[in-house]
Amino acid sequence: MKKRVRQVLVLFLVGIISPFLLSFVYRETKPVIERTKKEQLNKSLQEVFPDSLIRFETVKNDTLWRIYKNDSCVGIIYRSSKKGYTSVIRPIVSVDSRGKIIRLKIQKEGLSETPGLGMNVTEDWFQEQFRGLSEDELWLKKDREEGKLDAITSATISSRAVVSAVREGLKNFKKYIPSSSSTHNEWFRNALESLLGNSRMEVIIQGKLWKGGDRYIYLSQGEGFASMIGVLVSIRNDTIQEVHIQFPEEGFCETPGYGSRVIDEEFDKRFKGKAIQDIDGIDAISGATITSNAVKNAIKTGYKEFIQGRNR
Amino acid sequence: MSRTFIDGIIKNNLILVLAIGLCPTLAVTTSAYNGLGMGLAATFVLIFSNLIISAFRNIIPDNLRIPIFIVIIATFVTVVDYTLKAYVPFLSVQLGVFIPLIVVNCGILGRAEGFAYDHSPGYALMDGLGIGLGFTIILFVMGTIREILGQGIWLKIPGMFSGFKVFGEAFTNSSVILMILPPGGFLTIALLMGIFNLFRRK
Amino acid sequence: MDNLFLIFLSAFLVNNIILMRFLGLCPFFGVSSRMETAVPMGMSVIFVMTLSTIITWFLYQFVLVPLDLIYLRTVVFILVIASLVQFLELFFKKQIPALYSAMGIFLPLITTNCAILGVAFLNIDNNFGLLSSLVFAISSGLGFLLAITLIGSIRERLENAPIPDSLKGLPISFIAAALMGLAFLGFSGFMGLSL
Repeated sequence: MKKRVRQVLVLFLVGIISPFLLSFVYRETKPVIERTKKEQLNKSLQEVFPDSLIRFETVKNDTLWRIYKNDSCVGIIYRSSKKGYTSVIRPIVSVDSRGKIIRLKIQKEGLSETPGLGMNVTEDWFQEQFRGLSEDELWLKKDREEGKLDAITSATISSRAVVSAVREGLKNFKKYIPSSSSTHNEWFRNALESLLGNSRMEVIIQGKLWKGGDRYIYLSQGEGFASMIGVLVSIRNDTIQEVHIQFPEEGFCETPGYGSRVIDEEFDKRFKGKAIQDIDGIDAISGATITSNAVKNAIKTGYKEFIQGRNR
Repeated sequence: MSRTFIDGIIKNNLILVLAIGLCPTLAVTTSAYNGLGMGLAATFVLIFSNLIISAFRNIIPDNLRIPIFIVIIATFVTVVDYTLKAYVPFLSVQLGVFIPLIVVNCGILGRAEGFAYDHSPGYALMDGLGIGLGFTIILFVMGTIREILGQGIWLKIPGMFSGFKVFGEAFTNSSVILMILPPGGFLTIALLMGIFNLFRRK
Repeated sequence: MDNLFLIFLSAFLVNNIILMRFLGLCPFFGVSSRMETAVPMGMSVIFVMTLSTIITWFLYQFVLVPLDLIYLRTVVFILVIASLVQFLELFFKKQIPALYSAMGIFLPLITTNCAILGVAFLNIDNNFGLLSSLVFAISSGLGFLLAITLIGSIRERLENAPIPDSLKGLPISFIAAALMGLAFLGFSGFMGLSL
């Protein structure tokens, strides 16, 4: 009888102490585990969009974020996953407002592809080649003609898994990208009205070219430092009358202090009264050369399109 | 007492002599760092379970000892599991399911049953240390062999240290990848055991 | 359906539980020196693995998760498996002597077979549903049977082979396992499989 009691007592004690100790350990480590997870996540988000002046907003927990800069959305970051050769490959991808890949980073946590082969998907050269690609170019060269990506030698399965993870993620999440055409629809309408004043507007090409009296107004885009920059140009007899460069609140999101000087220093005024062929001679804003050139190029390419459109 | 310690490393070497605890030995030793991590985790469990079991050996009823041992071991395994998850997350991911599986490492239950249950805590501690060290050394050596041959580097610690370059660039670029694949594990342990047998026979 | 078939192929061949995942090596080398022990061991593993998977899956999904007790996972699982094996041993002894004589002596060995517990953990880590877990368990067990049968027959032949003294016994079996593993590596990437 006494033996029985002792047995029950010992079992009881073991049964109490063990869960108690474990619940203590669990409580102590849980916040640490969650914190490291969060830190790692933030680090990886910043790695794919290295800019200190941005803010991330979670759209879907752990899979989708929007990147904000000066309160305008400049792109998205998403995480997708695909089975690789021996583990699940989870790339984090940043996409700009045109739907082109900015950068991707394959998470090393939980990745256990074959070392020396599949594990090489984490190498820089492999991840670098995604930069600037759009959805239909995201194929391995050996799989599709339009593909622009090289596979890692003897690790095709892992490489293919990365590529399809990125592509499928882009396909799923592309609708969350602030679409550039819709922002244009928004922004140029007001500008167009102010340019035209009271004169009657005649649409020559929808969303592209308008005619008001003897003036033509065209819309064009140039590739800036961080986004596409829209310009609205009013022209009469091949002389620029007025240029309107997209404002930040209209989707212009160049780096503040640099690219944004184009707005701050009223770059658009420098075009007033200039003939198209003289545009190249206009000084760029110092410290914002890329953005300035983007504006100039936008005006020039828009002009070519305008000539074609007018003669139609 | 030091005899117990030395015996634990050599005479009772879990892997080479008793051929116990092979699963983690082969699975996680793709690098020296992983091997070391696994070895230390198992050593921690071994020491504490040995200590506790030996300290309470007079209270634990004979006919219930096995389930009680299992609970004690499983408790320490979970402690290690969560501690690694919190403080060395990368290692924890690499070792994966093999950390909780320390609980079924027959070596640990075997030492509890075969040694700690009828020795005083001092001896049990030395035994745990010795056996653990013997286990860790083998894991470390296996990891070293496989990492050097398989990747051309040694002691890479992910996120902290990129490893010593043992051979030149040419080797690193075309290393013996087989060694870090599963068959390489079998080959390495066969080699180690063969060498060990050769010396033991003499 | 497709998915289940892939799980089967993956667990049976591509990620063979012994040769690729290194789970359950102790019985693999412990009882594989003859065919007449290897095959019943494999059978017992399939049997226990399937049962323990069902039990641990329900326990995890309907007890541990709702009560927020996942940190007791290791303790609970190993206790459940140990008691299951004990129970089966007693049950067979009393009720089905034929099965007991076939599997009996292997059952105690199975408690500390990391394949059983490993499969229970892997089911959870992979977020498998009940059906997927079952398929995974059965095909892992079949993979175990396949590997242990193969190595059993190889080792029977090795007994009469001229082998250096220091490699006799386990070391040469490891080398045989390495060669088998190499052959199994050929399955990887099969139907784009990997797990």
